[in-house]
Amino acid sequence: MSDKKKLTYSQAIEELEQIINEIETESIDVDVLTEKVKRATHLIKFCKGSLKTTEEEVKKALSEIEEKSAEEGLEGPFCHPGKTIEN
Amino acid sequence: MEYFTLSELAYLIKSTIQSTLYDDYWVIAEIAQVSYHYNSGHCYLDLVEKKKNMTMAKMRATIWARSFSQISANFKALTGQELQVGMKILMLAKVTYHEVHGLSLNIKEIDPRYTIGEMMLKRKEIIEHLTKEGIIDGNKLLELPPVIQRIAVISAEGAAGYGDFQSRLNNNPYGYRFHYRLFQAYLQGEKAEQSIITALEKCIKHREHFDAVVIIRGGGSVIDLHCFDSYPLAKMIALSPLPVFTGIGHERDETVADHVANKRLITPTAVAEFLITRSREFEDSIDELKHRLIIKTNALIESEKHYLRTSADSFLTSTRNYLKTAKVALRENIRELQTKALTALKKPSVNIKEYEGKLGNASEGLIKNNRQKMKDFRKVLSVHPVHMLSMQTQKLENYKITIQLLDPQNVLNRGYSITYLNGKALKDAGAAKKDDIINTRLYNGSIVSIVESVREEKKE
Repeated sequence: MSDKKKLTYSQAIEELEQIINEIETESIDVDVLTEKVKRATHLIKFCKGSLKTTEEEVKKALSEIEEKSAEEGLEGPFCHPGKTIEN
Repeated sequence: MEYFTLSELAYLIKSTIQSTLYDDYWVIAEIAQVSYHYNSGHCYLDLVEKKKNMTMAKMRATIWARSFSQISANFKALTGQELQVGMKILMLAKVTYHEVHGLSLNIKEIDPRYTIGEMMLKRKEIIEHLTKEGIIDGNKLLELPPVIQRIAVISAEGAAGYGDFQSRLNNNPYGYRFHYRLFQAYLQGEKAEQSIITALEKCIKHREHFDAVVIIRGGGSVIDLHCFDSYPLAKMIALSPLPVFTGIGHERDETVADHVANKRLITPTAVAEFLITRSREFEDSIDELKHRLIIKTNALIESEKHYLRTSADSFLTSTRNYLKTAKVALRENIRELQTKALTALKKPSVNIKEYEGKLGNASEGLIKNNRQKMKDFRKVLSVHPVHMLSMQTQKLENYKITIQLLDPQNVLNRGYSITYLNGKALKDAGAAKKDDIINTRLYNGSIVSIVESVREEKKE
C-alpha cells in the first residue's frame, strides 16, 4: 500500500468523516456511492490494520536510532544499563 | 610550659560546648549527603550552607535510630519524599562533641513544612520564570495525534515502572501494536537531572520517528523528585516539539516537569493505559463511522430501491389506468361506430324503399304511357293502312327511277367506260405505269390492253 507510509490517522479519520458526512447529507450521487464506500472501507481497514499490525518500517527506524546511538558512543548511563539504579 | 593532651583538650571542648551550647537549636541547612545504616538504623548526614556555590559552612549530623523511624515517617508523610541530597531542612538539633568522632549535630526533630515551603517556592519560581518567557503551555498546546503509537521512553532499563509500562502496552486486550524505544536515563540522584535532559534531547533529535515522549519511573521506596523540579528540564519539555507525558510515580506532588508536560499521569501503568485508551477511542470512533457508513449506505440503497419500486409500481398503475381508459374509449368508439353505421345503413334503406316506390310508380306510369302509345299506334294503323301503302308504293317507284339513273350500265350505255387495274376502277392515270395490264369495260364487252405510256394531269 503506497499511501500507508504517507497517510496518517488524522488524515484518514478526517477523510472518512468527510465521506460519511457526504453520504449522510445525501449530497452524494448514487453513481459514485460505490466508489466512496470503497474508499471509506479502505480507510477503515487502514486505520484498524495500522493499530494492530507491527510496522516493519517503524521497527527498522527504531533500530537505526539504536545503531546511531551506539556509533555516537554515548556517555554516562546510556552505555551501562547494568549500572542503572533500580527505582 | 603548660599543655594539654589531646584528650584533655577534647574534654575541654566537650565540657565547654555542654555548658554553653546546651540548648536544642532550630537550624536550617541543606543536605549535602545522606546515608542510612541498615544494621544500626542510624542515619548520617552532611549538612551545608551554600551561597552562590560557595560553601559557607559544613557540619556532620546524625539521626539516631530511636528517633529516625518516626522523623522519617513524618517527613515522608508530609512532603511525600525521603530526606535527600539538595533538600533544605529545618531541624531541631543539639550540638554534640565526641572526643574521637568530633563535632556533630544530633537531629531530634525535622519540620517538614519548611521543606515543603522550599520545594513549593522553588517550583513556583521556575513556573513563574517559564510563564514570563511565555513557554509554560508550549507542550500542552501541542495537538496530539489521534493515535499515539510510536513512543520514545525515558526511563531506566530494568526499572519496575518501565517493566509495568511495557507489559501493559504489550498485553493490551485490544491487540494494538505500540512501537517504543527506550532512552536510558538516571531517574534519581545527582546525575538524574542532566541524564534526563540528555535523553530528551535525543528523543527530540529523532522526533520524526515518534508520536510522543514518556518519562516514566516506578514509585520505589526512595522517592526523589528533585530532578523533576529543574528549570532546564522544564524548559526543554515546554519547548519540545513532541508531546511529553509523565508518569513518575508520585501522586501528591506535581513537579515542574509534570506541570509543563502535555499530560501528567501518576504511574507508568497509567501512561500505558492512557495510550491504550486513546487508541481504543480512536478505534471506537472508526467503528462508529463504519456503523454510520453501513447504516447510511444501506438506507440510501434501500431508498433508491424503494424509489425504483414505487416508480415501477406507479408506472404499472398509470399504464394500467391508461389502458383501461383507452379500452373504455375504444369500446365507446366501437359502440358509436356501430350506432352510426347502423344509422347510416338505415338511411339508404329508407331511400331505396322510397326509390322502390318511386320506381314502381314511374315504371307503372311508363308502362301505362307506352300502352297508350301502342293503343294510339294501333288506332292509327287500323285507320290509315291503305293510304300508307299507296304512299309507300309511290316512294318505292321514285326510288326505282333514281336507282335506274344511277346504274353504271346506263352510264356505259351513253358511251362512258370504266378502266380497271388489278380489278379496281382506275381513277388516276398516275396509278398505272408502263406495261400494266388494264381492263376497260364498255356498255357491251370489255377490252384488255397494255399501257404504253402514262400522262398525268394534275387535278385540283
